[in-house]
Amino acid sequence: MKFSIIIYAAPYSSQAATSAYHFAKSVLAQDHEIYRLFFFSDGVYNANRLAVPAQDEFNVQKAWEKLIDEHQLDSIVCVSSALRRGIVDASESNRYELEAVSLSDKSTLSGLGQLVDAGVNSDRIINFG
Amino acid sequence: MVLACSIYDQDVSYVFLEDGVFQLLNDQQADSISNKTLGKALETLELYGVEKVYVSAKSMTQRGLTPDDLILPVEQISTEVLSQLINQSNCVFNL
Repeated sequence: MKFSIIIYAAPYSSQAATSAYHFAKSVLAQDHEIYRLFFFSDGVYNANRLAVPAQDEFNVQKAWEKLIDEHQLDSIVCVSSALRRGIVDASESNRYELEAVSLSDKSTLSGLGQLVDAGVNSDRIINFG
Repeated sequence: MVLACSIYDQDVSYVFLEDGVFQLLNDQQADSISNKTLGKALETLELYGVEKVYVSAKSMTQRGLTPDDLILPVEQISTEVLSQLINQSNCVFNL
């Protein structure tokens, strides 16, 4: 079955983002397909590459990066949610003359069209947060 | 999201539920709390061909709202009709 997963929740504020990660992992472990991850609203913080959680804690951002990389997942971060929260890639950082690049290089900034497309092309859409 | 669906030629129903019904209130002055007034954007729905706009009758009643309080004419639907609508849809997004 083809799944797309929408992550609305920020990491660490609640369990939802970590649950989304474990759900995604289980989907793949059971030989299903992930059509797209879509990080929306506060969920964009899951793609923040500048986070430094305590060493003995689960690093949600790193876990997502590893999963996306290992399975070559299509991971989209909502651009308008991201910009207002300071999650920027190199091109947005340049455009707005900012001092850092905060978006994980495993994810891509894009718009809601990608979410519509996920709805059309997936068997199931699962929300977290 | 509704506009994105419309741009991608999807047959879309737009439902306002629970506290979401407050988005439909007329005479909003959101700038007084440093926000954008959403009502203005809702008035453009028709231009995008979004005609199926619904509001939960139950959510309206619970909040003491009547159609006169709303910025645009929307169809009030019962919980039963809402479940039919969800059943008939290929995809449901909760925002």
